[in-house]
This record gives sequence, structure tokens and C-alpha cells, in this order.
Amino acid sequence: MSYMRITTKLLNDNVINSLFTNRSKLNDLQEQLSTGKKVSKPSDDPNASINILSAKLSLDQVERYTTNIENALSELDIADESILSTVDVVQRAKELAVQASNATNGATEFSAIKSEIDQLIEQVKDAANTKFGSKYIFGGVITEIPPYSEDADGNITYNGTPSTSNYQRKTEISENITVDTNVTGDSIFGQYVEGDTTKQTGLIGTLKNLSNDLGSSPPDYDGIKASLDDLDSDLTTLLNAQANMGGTMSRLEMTKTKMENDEITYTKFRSEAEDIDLAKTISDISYQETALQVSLKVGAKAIQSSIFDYM
Amino acid sequence: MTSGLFGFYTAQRSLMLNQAAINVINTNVSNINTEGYSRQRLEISQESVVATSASNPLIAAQSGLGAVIDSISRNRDAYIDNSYRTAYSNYSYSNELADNVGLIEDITNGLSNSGLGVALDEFYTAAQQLSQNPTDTVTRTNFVQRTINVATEFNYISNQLTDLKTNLVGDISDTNTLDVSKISLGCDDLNNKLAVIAELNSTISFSTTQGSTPNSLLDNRDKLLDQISEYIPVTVSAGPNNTVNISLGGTDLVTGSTQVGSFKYELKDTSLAGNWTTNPPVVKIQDPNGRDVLNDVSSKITSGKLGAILDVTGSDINKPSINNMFDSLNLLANEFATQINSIQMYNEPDMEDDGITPTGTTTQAMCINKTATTPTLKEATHKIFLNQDTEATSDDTKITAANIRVNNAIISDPTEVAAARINYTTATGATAANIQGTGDGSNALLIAQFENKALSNLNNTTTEKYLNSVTSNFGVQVRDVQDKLDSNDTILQQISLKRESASGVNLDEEYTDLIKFQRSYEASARIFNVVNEIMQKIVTLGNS
Repeated sequence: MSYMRITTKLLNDNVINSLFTNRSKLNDLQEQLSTGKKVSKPSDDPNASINILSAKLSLDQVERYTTNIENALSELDIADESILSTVDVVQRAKELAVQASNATNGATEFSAIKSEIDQLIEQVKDAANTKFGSKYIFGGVITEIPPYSEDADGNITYNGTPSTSNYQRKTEISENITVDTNVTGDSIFGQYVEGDTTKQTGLIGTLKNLSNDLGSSPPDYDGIKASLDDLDSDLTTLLNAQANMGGTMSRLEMTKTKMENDEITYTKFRSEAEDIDLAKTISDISYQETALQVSLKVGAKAIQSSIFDYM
Repeated sequence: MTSGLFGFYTAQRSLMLNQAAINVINTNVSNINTEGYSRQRLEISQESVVATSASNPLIAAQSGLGAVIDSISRNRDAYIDNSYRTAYSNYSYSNELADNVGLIEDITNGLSNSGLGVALDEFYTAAQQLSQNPTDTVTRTNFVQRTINVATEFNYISNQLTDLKTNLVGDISDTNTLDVSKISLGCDDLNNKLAVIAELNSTISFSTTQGSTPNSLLDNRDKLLDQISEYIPVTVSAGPNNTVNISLGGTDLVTGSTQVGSFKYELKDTSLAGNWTTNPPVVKIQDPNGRDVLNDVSSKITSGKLGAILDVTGSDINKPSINNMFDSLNLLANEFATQINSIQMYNEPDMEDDGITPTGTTTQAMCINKTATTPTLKEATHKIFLNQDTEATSDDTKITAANIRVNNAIISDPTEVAAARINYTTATGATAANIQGTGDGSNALLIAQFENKALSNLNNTTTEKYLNSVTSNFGVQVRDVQDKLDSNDTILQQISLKRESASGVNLDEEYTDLIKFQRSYEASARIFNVVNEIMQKIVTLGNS
């Protein structure tokens, strides 16, 4: 019969080895349980770590784009409110124009109507100079100067980037997809320069002309009547701008929803690669504890037994 | 007929022999926990003499002379020793390699919540913010801080890797560090051990010719041979009179009682200045007079600790090494820095659709014109990344992970970051200064969008994905090394087990032997008594 010669040291080494092995396995599992992660270094599980890293990259991007979209939405909300208040201005201006075109008005009434129109012009100007944070939103890429300024002669000029230029403030809402997040003021509010009919455009131009017509003596009835049509077309411009903005906003909302879905997907993907299965880890730990106890018990027995016990 | 007195001698020899046997057991038991100790055995044989008289059957049968000690031998198996040393070399190689690549992995860990990956992520986030709020001072400052952060992370990783490399193989620019490097200390230790083995060979040879077996010296020498195989894979062959010869890949290190080769770690050509590519430090084998026997033995040190150090500091692209990691990081740092710089410094005349005819306008990256009274832009004149702190003689094509810095001009004035990109008419002689449009963030947007740009120099992938692939590829290599370590460990344990089984001490066995020889001693004493009584009987025969 062949047998292996088991020396005392070999016996001890074996016991120590099996204790170390079991203890280190148990330690690994306990570390996983306390961190909640089964992968803390790429070498722990190279395949899982590739998934974790790529999911992390995507999640970072999703987070960035979501922030961008939220910022853009806030800015567009402010712009929307400004345009909405301007729509009210146009409605009121129309009422006043209708009232003014009534021939029974006296000089006092005309003066009162004119001063209200002037107030409305101020309101439009204020709305066009709305700020989001520290930037003027209707001036294109010129955000530090109010887009509309009024000089001593009552000229209201547009200082922002012209709507015909390429400069729009863009926001990236998903990989390489950008949306324009601004509406240039000249395309919706217009401007007014005395004596230069090419620069008497939009709502501001109409209101300024209306104010002048009311102020002239006698009031220019034809001009007042004509302004009713102009006001209608200005209203259409405003409503169109609003609709465009609404379109952008709903597109942003949709992208945001997509980003939120992506976030869930990537989070799940990452979690599957990285996080421990709690039930499995706990049962693994109790299994490993049993194994450790067994090796302790067996080890104690194996070391103890010696011929000295029997002599 | 033998002399009656002869019985005394036989019994006395037997008593002495049993005592010697008990002494050997004593030695075995006391060395039970001594590393490298081989169990000793008393080799006993029958005493015999040449038959002088065929007529006397007792003498003719050569019986009745008792037993003698032939020798005290070691339980040792040269074949197992050789296998053990090969296994130990392989294990030490894997162990040293696993330690070092583990350190590299810790340094470059891409999964943790700090480090280069996070720095890049924050950089791109800051660029997005800048593109939305180019006029906001806080956003600008934040962008510059994140830029510094990226450079610092590159520098940090690079410094850590350099430190690791210096510890292992020294710093080429300072020859003093070569002498205290791990590889040089390993060579010194090896030389000491080889010298001791040569001395032991001499003593062993002397003892052997004197007819004794110097077991403890042999055990010591075997232990030293084990320790040498921790560093390098040596070939051990037996020489005359129990000596051993040691060689490495065919080059002799110890022949008999002389150490013919010693290791030296120094520059390949000591008369020239060190250079990692043209004149690197190498491991040499020198003769006792300090002359080179072999100028570079790297290719022969295929396993052991030294082999691992050579591999982890080498440039084999198939093995995980510090240099490979450096190459990847340098490539990334350089590509990232030069590309961001080119966005920052963009200045190109616009062309018609044909791509040749100038349209008379120029598109240029612009930063804020701080000196103007109204918010205006001016052309960007400062690079963001340099290979040193200030611009003076900087060349951004030489940017590496170690030297990447953010331009001091940008750090001291974040308005110098070009967030806008404007095209303006050059035909009328207009200059770039005092152009309106500080709210334009299109250049910053291009920096942010650079995140998703696949770069041909980075295997057609983006900066972050490249970094991820470097980290995970290294992870695969580290895993591979660890798996190999596990299997080498198992092999070593198996062979250790075999060796321990052959050479180790078992207490049960020793105790059994002890009792055997004790009884034997008792029996010899009794025989002595009987012989004594017989002699007394003979002496008193005539008195009756």
C-alpha cells in the first residue's frame, strides 16, 4: 500500500492554508456587503468593469444634457411669459385704437389714449429687455447690453444680434444635437427710428406710429385705422413666435423624457454589473462562515491528534 | 572462536549506536520548525570483517560482530528540489508582477469616484455651462479650475508612476537612484548569496574529502539556492565532492568554491550619460575583476522577482508595464491638450463652397475684451494647455502627462478663455477687437462637443472612451497576472507538500523511533549484563 508521508509541519501548514483561504474569501464577501459593490477595481471583473465604465460615461452625459435642457426650458419659459404679456399689450392697444378711431373723441380723450399707448410702449420695451439671470434673452448673442434702448428723441432701437445673422445661442440637448434657445427681439418686437421707415418695424414701430398719429393735431384718423391692421399682423407675429417657442419647448420636454428613460436604463445596466445581489451575498457569507467553522474544527482535531495522546 | 571479551565490545558498540540514534532523533525534533531542515537518518549496517578462518563457522558467516554507523544521511530529493526552485521562480515572478501591476491599477483606477475620468467629466460639464453662460464670471472661473484639475490629474498619475518606476529601476537622470533601486538591491543580495554558496562549497568539499557528511551545511546551501531562485531562474548542477555549480542561462555564476560571476546593475555604457532608449541601465554579469562577462542578461532573467521587475518596467506591448501605461496617458494628454488648444485658438478665413475662394470673412475664436468700456470681444491669443507654466518657449506638441500645465495667462484671467466664435468681415480692414456678442458660447460648445469627437490618434475613439479602454484593458491584464499567480501558487504548494513530505519531520515517527532505539538500548544494556555475568562466571570458575 502506498501512502504519503504526512509531516507535522505539513499538517500545520495545511490547517493554516485552509483557514487563510476561508478567512480571505469571507473577508472579500464582507467587504462586498459593506460597500454594496462586487467590483471595486477593473481587475476584479474585467468584463463587468467595461460595462460599468461605459454606463458611467453615458450617465454623466445624460446628466449633463438634462441640466442643459432644464436651463434652456427655464429661459424659454421666461421668454414665453414676456411674449404673453406683450400679447395682452396688443389686445389693449387694439381696444384703444378702435376707441380712438371713433370720431366723437375730444382732445382730452386723444391725449389720454396717447399717454396709455406710450405706457404700453414702455411695457413692450420692458418685456423685450427681460433678463434671465444676468443675461438679456432677446438680444441674440449680445446678452450684456439691453437689447432695446430709447434715446432723448424717443427712438427705440434694437442693439442685439439681427435675426438675419447666424448667431443664436445654442444648447446641446443630446449628442451633437443643438437647439436655438433664443428669439431675437427685432423679429418680434421690431424697432422705431424717427424718419427712417425701414427701421419702423414690428409692434414697437406700430405703437410708436399710433402714438404719433394720436399726438398730431388734428389726429391722423387714417393712420389710426391703418394701425388696427398693423396690430393684427403684429399679433400674428407674436403668436407665431410663441408657437415656435412652444414647439422647441415640447421638443425639449420630449428629449428630457428620453434622457430620463436613458438614465433609468443606464443606471440599471450599471447596477447589474456593479452592485451585489444582497440575498446571494448574504447566503454566500453564511456558507463561507460554515466552511470556516468546519476548517477550524477539522484543523483543531488534526493538530491535536498525536501518538503522545495514546502512550 | 572469538574472545569472550568481544561480547563487551559488541554490546558497547550497540549502546553507543543507539545513543547516537537517539541523538539524531533529538536533532530532528529540535529542528522540526527550522526552515530548510532535512530530516536526518542514521544509516546502520552489520559490522563485517574479512573472513580469516573458514574453519570457524561463526567468523566465516561474519556474524556476531554487531552493528556500526555508516553515516547520518539527509532525506532529500534533488529532483524535487529542482522542481521546487523552478516553481518558486515562477511564483516569485507572478507575485512581484501582481504587486506592481496592482499598484499601477490603484494609481490609474478608473472606477473610483476621483481621478482623471472624473476630472474629464467635470471639464466637459464646465464647458457646457460656459457655452450657456459665457459672460458669467463664476462659470468662467469654474471652467478654468476644471481645466487645471485635468492637468493636475495627469501630473499626479504621471508622478505616481514615475515614483513607482524609480523605486523599481531608478531614475535615469540620477545614477545614485540606480544603486538604491529594488533591482540593484536584488543584485546585491544575489551576489552575497552566491558568495556564501561558494564558501559553503569550499567547506563542504573539505569535509567530504575528510569523509564526513556536513548535513547542516548542505541544508544551509539548499536554503540559499531556494532564496536565489526567488530572484532569478538558476540552473544548479552537481560538482565533485558534494559541491554545486550555479549558472544562469549558460553563464556560470559559481563554479566549485569560486564565485565566477556577480550581478551589477548599471548603465549599459557607463562612460556615457544615461538615456532610457539609447543607454538604459541593465543587469550585467561581471567576473571577479569587475569586467563584463555579459553586458545585458535581461533576456535570460525570464522569471523570479528580477524578471518581474524587468517586465513591469520594460516596453513589451503584450505585458502590463509602467511604460505602456505612460505611453497611453501621454498620447491622451497630448491629443486632448492640442485639440482643445486648436479650438481655443481657431482662426480661419471662410471659403466659398468650392473650398478655395475666400469669402472675405474670417471665423475666429474670441475671448472677452476686458479693457473695452462696453462688453465686446477680442481675438483669443493664449493657448489653454502648455508643456510648462508660462508661454515663453512652450511648444504644445511636446505635451505629456508629466508636463501638461494650464497657461498662467488663462489662470490669472479667465476672460481669456475663448467662449465665442464669430465671423467678421476682413475686406474692410476690420480687426477682431471690439466685436460685439459676448453672449456667444459657440466656441465653448465646440469644446463641450469635443467630448464626443472620435480621434484618429486615439484608435478612433473619444477621450473618455479611450481612457476607459486603457483602464479596462489594463484590468484584463492585471486579472491575467493574478490568475497566473493563483495557479503558480497552487503548483508551488503542491511541490512544497511533496518536498515537505520527503524531508520534513513527523513527531509520531520520531517518537516511534525514539521508543525503538530506547528499547534497543535497554536490550543492549541487558546483553552487556549477561556478558558481564558470563565473564564473572568464567573468572570465578577456578575458585569453586
